[in-house]
Amino acid sequence: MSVRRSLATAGLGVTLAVVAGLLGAAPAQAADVFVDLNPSTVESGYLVGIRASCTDNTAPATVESDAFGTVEVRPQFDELTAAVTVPAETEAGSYRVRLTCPDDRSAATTLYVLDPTRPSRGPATGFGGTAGDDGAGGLLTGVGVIALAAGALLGVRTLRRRRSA
Amino acid sequence: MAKGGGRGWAGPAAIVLVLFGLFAIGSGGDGNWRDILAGGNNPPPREFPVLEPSRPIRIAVPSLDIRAPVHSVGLADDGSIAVPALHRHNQAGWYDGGPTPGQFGPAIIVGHADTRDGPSVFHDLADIEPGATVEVTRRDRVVAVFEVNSVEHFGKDELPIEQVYGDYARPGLRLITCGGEWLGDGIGYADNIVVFASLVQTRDS
Repeated sequence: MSVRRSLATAGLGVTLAVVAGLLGAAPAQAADVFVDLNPSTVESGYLVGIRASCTDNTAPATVESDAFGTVEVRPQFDELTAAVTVPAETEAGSYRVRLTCPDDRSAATTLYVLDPTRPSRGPATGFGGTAGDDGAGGLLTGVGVIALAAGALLGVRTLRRRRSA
Repeated sequence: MAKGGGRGWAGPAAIVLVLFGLFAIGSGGDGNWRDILAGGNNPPPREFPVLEPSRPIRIAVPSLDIRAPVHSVGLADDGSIAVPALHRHNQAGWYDGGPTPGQFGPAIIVGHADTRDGPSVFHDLADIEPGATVEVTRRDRVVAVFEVNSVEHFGKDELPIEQVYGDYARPGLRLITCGGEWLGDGIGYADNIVVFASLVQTRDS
């Protein structure tokens, strides 16, 4: 009785495992269809790496976007890859990037394009309120050195004049 | 004996099989359902998080006790990043021409070191230690957690533009303020202090 019950439980377990295996096998392939960008945010005029995967990665596939047109991703290391430059005239914004596989499966992601503005110099982020005595101190020291030198010179000249007189 | 033997292997075997089955369904099926819902794009994970765009609204540096609101700034007339107005000296400014914190690329946040008569939001920024965390809360309520890589001082005309603004290899953050010698009104401080940080984690606020 209890052997039978145990065997029945074991049987159920086997069935579950087999079903799980079957379920797991099919989606594993479906999940393999993807397209990924590196970087997914880029300044116009710069290069983007595309990494993609179809069910069969021995044949090339197509990736297209309004940001850079159409490119072919080719087999490399069990994946499909390409590198594409986003043209400098591409306007800033978000662009859909779509992968189409030879078997018509597809995947999509988003590319964010920015204007390549390079701030020319560092920002002016201080008004000097906590600058301390550094600046004033340095100035004072400089004035002091000049005064001392002038005083010494004057002193020497005066002494010489007195002697020669 | 046979009974005992049967009970001995069948029970544990059943449990193991059921657990395996659940595990296989869980791990195998997960990608499937998410895949269907997400319209078929589920690339393998990266070594670091990447976020969709969303504007920053708050910044916190726990180790320096800095907590401040963040608003957007653009470019000033001289081509440098604009800074928050004087009456907002305790707020930070995010440069809205660049990426938002969490996207690929360097998100730039500037803050005043001081006003004419006292310290401002980023006054102590030079004291930040590599490894410290900087938390930026975004409008989508996601907190982007950055780890400080380095703190550097540059003369204002010697800012390494590419290093500060051009690194799109991963999501990063640059905190910028003023420092070095005070050169007087009209010139300001001699240097910029730049904190370089990288996105290491994200969480909901």
